[in-house]
Amino acid sequence: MSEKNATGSVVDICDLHVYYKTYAGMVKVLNGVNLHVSPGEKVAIVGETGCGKTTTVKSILRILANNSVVPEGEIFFKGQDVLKMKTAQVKQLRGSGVSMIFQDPTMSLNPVFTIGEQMFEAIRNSGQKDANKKDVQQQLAVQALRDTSMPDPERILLSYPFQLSGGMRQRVCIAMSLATPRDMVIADEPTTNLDVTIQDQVLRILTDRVESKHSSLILITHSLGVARETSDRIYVMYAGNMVETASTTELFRQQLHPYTVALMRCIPRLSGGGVAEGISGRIPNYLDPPAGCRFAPRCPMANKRCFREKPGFYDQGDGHCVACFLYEKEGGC
Amino acid sequence: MNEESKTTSINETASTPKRDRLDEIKKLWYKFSLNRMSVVGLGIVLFVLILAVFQPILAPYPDHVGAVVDFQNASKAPCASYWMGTDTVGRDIMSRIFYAYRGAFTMGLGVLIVTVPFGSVLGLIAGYWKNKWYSTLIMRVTDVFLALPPMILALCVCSILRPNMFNSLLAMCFAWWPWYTRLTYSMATSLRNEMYVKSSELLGASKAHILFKEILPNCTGSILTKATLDMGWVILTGATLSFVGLGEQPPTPALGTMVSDGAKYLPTQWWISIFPALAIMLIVLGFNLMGDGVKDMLSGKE
Amino acid sequence: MFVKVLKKLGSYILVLIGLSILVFIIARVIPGDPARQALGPNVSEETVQALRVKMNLDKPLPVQYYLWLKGAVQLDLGASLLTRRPVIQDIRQYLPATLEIVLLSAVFMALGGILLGILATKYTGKWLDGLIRVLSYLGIVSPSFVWAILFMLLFGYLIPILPTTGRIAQSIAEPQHITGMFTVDYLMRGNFVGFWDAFRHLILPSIALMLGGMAQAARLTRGNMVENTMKDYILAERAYGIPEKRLLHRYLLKPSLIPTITVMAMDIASIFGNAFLVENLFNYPGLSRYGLSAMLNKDINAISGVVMVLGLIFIILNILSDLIVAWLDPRVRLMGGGEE
Repeated sequence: MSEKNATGSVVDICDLHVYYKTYAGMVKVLNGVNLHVSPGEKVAIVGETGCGKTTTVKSILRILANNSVVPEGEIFFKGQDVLKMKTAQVKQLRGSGVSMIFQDPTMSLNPVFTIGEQMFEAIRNSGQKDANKKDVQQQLAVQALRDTSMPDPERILLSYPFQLSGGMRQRVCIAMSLATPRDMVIADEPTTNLDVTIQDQVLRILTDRVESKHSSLILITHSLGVARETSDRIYVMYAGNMVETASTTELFRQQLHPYTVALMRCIPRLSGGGVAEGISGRIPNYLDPPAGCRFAPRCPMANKRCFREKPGFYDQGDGHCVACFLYEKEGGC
Repeated sequence: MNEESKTTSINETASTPKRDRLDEIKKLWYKFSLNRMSVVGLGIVLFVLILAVFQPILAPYPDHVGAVVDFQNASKAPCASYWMGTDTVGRDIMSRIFYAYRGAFTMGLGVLIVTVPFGSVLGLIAGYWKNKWYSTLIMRVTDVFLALPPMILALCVCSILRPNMFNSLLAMCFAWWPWYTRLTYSMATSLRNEMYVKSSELLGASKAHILFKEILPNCTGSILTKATLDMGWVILTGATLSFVGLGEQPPTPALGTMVSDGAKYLPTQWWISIFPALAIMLIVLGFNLMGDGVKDMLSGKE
Repeated sequence: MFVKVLKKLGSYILVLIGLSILVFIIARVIPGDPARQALGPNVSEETVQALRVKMNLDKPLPVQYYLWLKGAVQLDLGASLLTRRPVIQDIRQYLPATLEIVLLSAVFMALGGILLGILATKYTGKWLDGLIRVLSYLGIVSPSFVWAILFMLLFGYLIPILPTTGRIAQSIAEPQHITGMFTVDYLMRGNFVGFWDAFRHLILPSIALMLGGMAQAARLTRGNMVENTMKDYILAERAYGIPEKRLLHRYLLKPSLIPTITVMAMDIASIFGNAFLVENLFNYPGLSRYGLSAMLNKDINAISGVVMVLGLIFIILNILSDLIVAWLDPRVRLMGGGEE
């Protein structure tokens, strides 16, 4: 699995397990996640709420909660082992390597500091040349805001978060994430909390900025539609595992994993078929997860082996990988 | 987030009201007991309560609360026959402390039984009818009472009247009610705009029903939490009042009086002051710890 | 915004007036005869009657109130029946003494409480956090007179390094009355010996009084900071590479302080309330002790005077705390609202 970093990938996650220690027991959220992002690639992670998407990306930046444990697995950023990094390297990772945009822009900006103070602080920690100088910070911040089509950037910098609308706040976050050069931006459901009318606009600004700065993007969403619009490749996630990944066009052409198939069927279509059905059943209890494949209890194609053994991530060619015994092959992802 | 499972068992036993109540109580206890310190607090309070109630049985010298003198055993340091020593006239400190706890509980319960309902209802009324003249009047009066630290107000009233237990209780009621009014006022002003209140109004429910069946249940959590903590504070304030001589009069023991009586004999006869002081701290600590648990227990309801 | 300030000021003034009425009613409705009480049983009835007239006790209550209010606005609060001096003079002497203690306590409380709260947050879950939490509990539940007694024991007898009575040593002359606060007055005249001695006399009473408030502030600060650590903006700031130390001392502290400040203002006000015990025990000639003896001796003019001064101080403290919160929280400043 470690050969991937040799091909110059930005982020490589191999067989990541993450558990949370709670009063009730060990919550085994991530059960062996594999993820790979190449430079300049736009990747979407699609999955139900609670399947571990946020945990996955938070572990890249090492901002998991204090009660988290990583018993197994590795994360590589540009070839370096993230989990073994020292403080100085982590600072560099966060300052200039990866940035993150959170779901709720109201909560992700400090309410008692101005936008300017927060942006300048982010720029100051980017490790860029002259980032300590106030005028350089000002210049970069104004430019970043202007790039996200914000009117009157100087005034915005002097404002407080509560004085801006939700859409504007999210655009500020986008600007902040790309004010200085980054290898990768992570956006965790950036438009879920916004009005429908501006969701589209914000998404376009995001992809625009990412492309013009030649960064990679990990976009988390629960909507296949959004994923299709914005990404080059899609990862489908279920209950702490990646169950399928393929390029966007390929995934929409042919879904292999039973879960992905069911997800596709959930999308309502105007061209007949009526309103979609849900998928019966629930996500497993992470305190006591099933032994084998975690989708097995809900899977129409499951057999005895699925309940006992966990499937690997099988490469079907062209980077289309599936975690299902139906497609078992040699050569993992 | 939780999709309902399509297979709900038809065989689920129908719940009876009695079983529901029992379940509710069990759930409340579970939430309360999650915080270990609250259980410790409850234990302390129950322990002290037992000491107070069963004083005649548990105390080694139950009659030392009266006008008893025993100069032979005066000012004895803590020893086997007098676990907390004796005071200057030979009375057993421990037995007197147990009895003094009675006064403390009476004070606490007495003040709260009066002020909590009175203050809360006043606040509900003022909050619900926020823009009426009587609401403004109520809140202005409340503000006036709140402008002084409760201790001063209680002192003021207390010093005017004859010093005894009842009067100091009265004085504290005077000082304590506005806090509940302010609490329920702020809750009522925000809750009166809730959907369920509006719909009750539209359905023609009586004002009493809205106040007591719709709004009040949502305030009980905060009210009860504050009341639990206040038990401790009332006892503390009561002890302070009796420290300066307002409250229970000798020879009836009161915790504050015992501390002040013994203060003259520090440091040599330290036990006369220190044990009553520790007794005060213990009961206040108990209620304080319980308060956190009560908050957790009732927060889910709101 | 300006209108809002004016409105608030107006309501505060209303409260003051209401307070004066309340106090007036309490003081005048006492059972017993203040005039007789003041002069003692051996004086003739005519003399007592003369005093009654002088004190306006023969006039109807509303008239009495009006007369008293008129005097109060001109800073004439009548004469104390105990000290036989104008109440305002007594207040001018005793108030600064208590103020000195309260100021020192407030400084200790704020600095100590916030610092301990930060420490407890930094080491959450470790032994230092547990220790601070236990100590805060103890601080909150112990009445200040207990601490006062303990200190007298400790520093009066066992380790006599700090004075336990009075404001100033016998050997040093009182300073010229500029503010009435000995420490300030000594400093303003450059008398460092006097300043140091006066300051030493302040230490024990201040600490005894501030421990409860400091424990409360520490507990609140810690609680708020720990709660805010879970907020997304802290996570986001960490994700931008901001060092933990800066995160703690700047971006986590500021939003967490806001609820604490409001409570601290009330705690400082209640120090005035609790000061009488400590002043009594330490034999410190302050306003609270004066007020207590006034209450115990039914010295109505003094009672009214002291209570009004306390009410005024309370209002000033409220205004101050409102100002500080507005300074810290831009939502309050600019919108007139804030996080509840």
